[in-house]
Amino acid sequence: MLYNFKDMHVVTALLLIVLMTFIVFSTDNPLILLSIFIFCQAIFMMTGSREKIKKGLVYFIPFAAVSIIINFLFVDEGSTILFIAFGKNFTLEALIYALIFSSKLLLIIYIFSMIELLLNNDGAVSYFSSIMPKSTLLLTISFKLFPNLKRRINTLREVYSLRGVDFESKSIKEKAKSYTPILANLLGTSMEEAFDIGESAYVRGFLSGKRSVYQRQKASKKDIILSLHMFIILILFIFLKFKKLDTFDIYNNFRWQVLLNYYVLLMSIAILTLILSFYLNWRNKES
Amino acid sequence: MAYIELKNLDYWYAGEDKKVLSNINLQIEKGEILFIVGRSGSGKSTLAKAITGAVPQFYGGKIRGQVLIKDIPLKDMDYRERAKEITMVFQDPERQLMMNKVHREVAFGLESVGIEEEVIERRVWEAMQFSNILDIAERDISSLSGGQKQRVAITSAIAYLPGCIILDEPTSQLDPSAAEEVIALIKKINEELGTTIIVIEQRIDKWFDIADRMIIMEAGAIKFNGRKEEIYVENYESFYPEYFKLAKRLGYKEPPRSFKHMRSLINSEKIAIESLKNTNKKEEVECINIKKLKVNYGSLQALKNISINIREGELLGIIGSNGAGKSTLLKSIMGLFSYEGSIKLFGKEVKKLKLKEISMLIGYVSQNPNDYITKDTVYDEIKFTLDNHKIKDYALIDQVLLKLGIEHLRNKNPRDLSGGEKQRVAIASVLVTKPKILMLDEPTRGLDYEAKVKLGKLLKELNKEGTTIIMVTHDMEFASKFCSRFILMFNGSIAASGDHHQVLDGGIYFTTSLNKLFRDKQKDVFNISQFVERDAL
Repeated sequence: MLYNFKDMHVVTALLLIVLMTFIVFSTDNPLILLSIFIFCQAIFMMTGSREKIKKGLVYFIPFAAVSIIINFLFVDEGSTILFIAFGKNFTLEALIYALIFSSKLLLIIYIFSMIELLLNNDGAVSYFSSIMPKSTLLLTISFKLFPNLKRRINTLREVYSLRGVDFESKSIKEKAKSYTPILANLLGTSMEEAFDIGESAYVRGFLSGKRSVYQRQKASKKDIILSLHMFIILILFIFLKFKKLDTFDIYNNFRWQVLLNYYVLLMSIAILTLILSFYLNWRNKES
Repeated sequence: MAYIELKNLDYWYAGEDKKVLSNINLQIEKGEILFIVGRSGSGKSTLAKAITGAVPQFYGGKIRGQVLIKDIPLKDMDYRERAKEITMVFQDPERQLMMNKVHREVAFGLESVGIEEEVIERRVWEAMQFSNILDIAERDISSLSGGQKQRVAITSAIAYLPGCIILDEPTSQLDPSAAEEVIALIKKINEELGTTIIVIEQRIDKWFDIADRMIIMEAGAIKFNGRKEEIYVENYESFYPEYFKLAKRLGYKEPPRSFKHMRSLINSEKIAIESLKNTNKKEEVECINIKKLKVNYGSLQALKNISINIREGELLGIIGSNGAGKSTLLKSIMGLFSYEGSIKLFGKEVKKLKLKEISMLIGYVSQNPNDYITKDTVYDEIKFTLDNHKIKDYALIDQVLLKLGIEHLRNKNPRDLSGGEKQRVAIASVLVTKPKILMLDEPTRGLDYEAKVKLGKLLKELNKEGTTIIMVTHDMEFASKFCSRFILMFNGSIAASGDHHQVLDGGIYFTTSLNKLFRDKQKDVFNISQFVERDAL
């Protein structure tokens, strides 16, 4: 059974994304991060977007590996020595720190991947065009340019391969040089394309005055419930931060009680119950 | 009072000394279909932009004279009122659609001009019903075909209920069947809603039939302005539909009223027709040998078990519907796709050759000549290809410029050239290494008649000198005139292969206008060059 969350109000969806991003950037507490991870997985499962889980891991694994190596090389703090090599201690603490650090990147990837599952793009363009039309037009043009650029790069690669440009060169310098004509061409065509989109918007009356809104979104009961839930999470998180109850310093006097205190558990439960909120509010809205 | 009136209009683009529009005087009546033609760079699009107000409000520059809409000067009209009254559909739908979903896109313009929210919903869905695109209302625009995207753009224009819709080459990027759907929709808009239509196009035949009046532009000025039939007595053959050209050739004093009328005239005549000379060289040397070729895009099989031989010196046209696999076949031969089966290029398996080796044997010209522009002069652009191949014989550059008749463009910036000239520069930049095979993908796209004729002659000449030419094209008249052999493809397979008689004769869709006109009278008629004499019965 798959769910479609795109009828959520644009503002609710954005608040959720901002709140999650804020929490991930503000805490190192593994339990809180784990609860966000589980929440993201639940959203991916409910919307049938398992491929996003894999895609996140593709970026996470090499980043985690590099973080672990660098942390091992430059940090020898910690009391639990895993092994000693070249006269240097490799500690469990350095390993855990690197893992937590890289898992935050994974969470940010997952949170941003959720945007397209929660946000109705057209609804967002329509909504923000009525509030800040110039910035929205600018963003829309940029977003439209990216997929077109990708297509153009492929076409130009074919054309220039057959004009003798070697894109398979092993030297990085040669490889970079081979892309120069493509970039020169892209620069010109992208500017033309952006100009054409702007002209089309002008002819269609964009920025001619106050816009009306097609299928104006109204905050529904589920938006209110979700917003209240997010508000509780925010208040709880601010309290935790203020009282330094989420502090997790693996290198200095680490104690399990710090990790598993009552408030952190409460915070994690509040995040995990978001899954329940989504389920109960959208259970009749299968896609 | 005319609906739209242009009085003594002159226009200069910002920073330019040369006038782009010169003393334009024009009246357009409500409900008219006006067809504007002219060579590339003649000022057609600028004229259209002057009517929408984009010139000079969006482009800047200097304007003199007046544009009046319902007797109100355009410059005095409120921007919003102007946008509601006159709207425009552009050449490339990719560059005008802003939203992801079709119905949202149709609503976008209405939101921009502040149509009341209770009205928008009805307008959006009624406009989609009118254009017969309700079935794709919830589809992502990125998943639509070119023709569907253009119909969405037109539907977005209808939703305003404008007095006038201007279309700037709306079918130039579409295949013939998608173009016909667009033309039928425009005719319906004009007939049922009374909307004034202004169309700018290089494709003459189908638009000519629905137009009320024609304008021919040259160097920024109106050279001809009159009923479409009137061009028959003037010497504007470049802008005739094929059946007008035929009527002129047969010496009719009056123009035929329609394609159907032309057929009845032909059937009542005795016409001697020269049989088509088959110029196909029967060289025995194979340059490309394809056996059991299969190409897959994920789960989609783009080419299914294709086997074909192409001999040296052929001028081969690959024709067929969109998505039939024509470009895929071309690119597979060039080693750009992985494949199953065998493709041998001069006896060597393509997948075993490096792209650089293939590029010495095959020159490839893509659909868009702008793809070949990276340098500041034509000379440097051609030199770039030689440098990539580490060829130091720069005398080859002047040779190829001379051969293609563009030696006068040697030091010009390729960005400043016309469509036809850019096309020649693109061909020059791949021909400079003297490849044995030249491949072209939709070479006539966006070219005016004169440029097409020049291109055709050039290809014939190159072919005579020994270059094997393979082109993918939707332009049946062009293919019939210049190709000696054809491959007709559908759904990843070859449906027919051979000369004019074997592929084009009796075709329902993929054949020439003349073949359709003459089929009751005589077989194997394809080109106007075949006619020799006419006697009344």
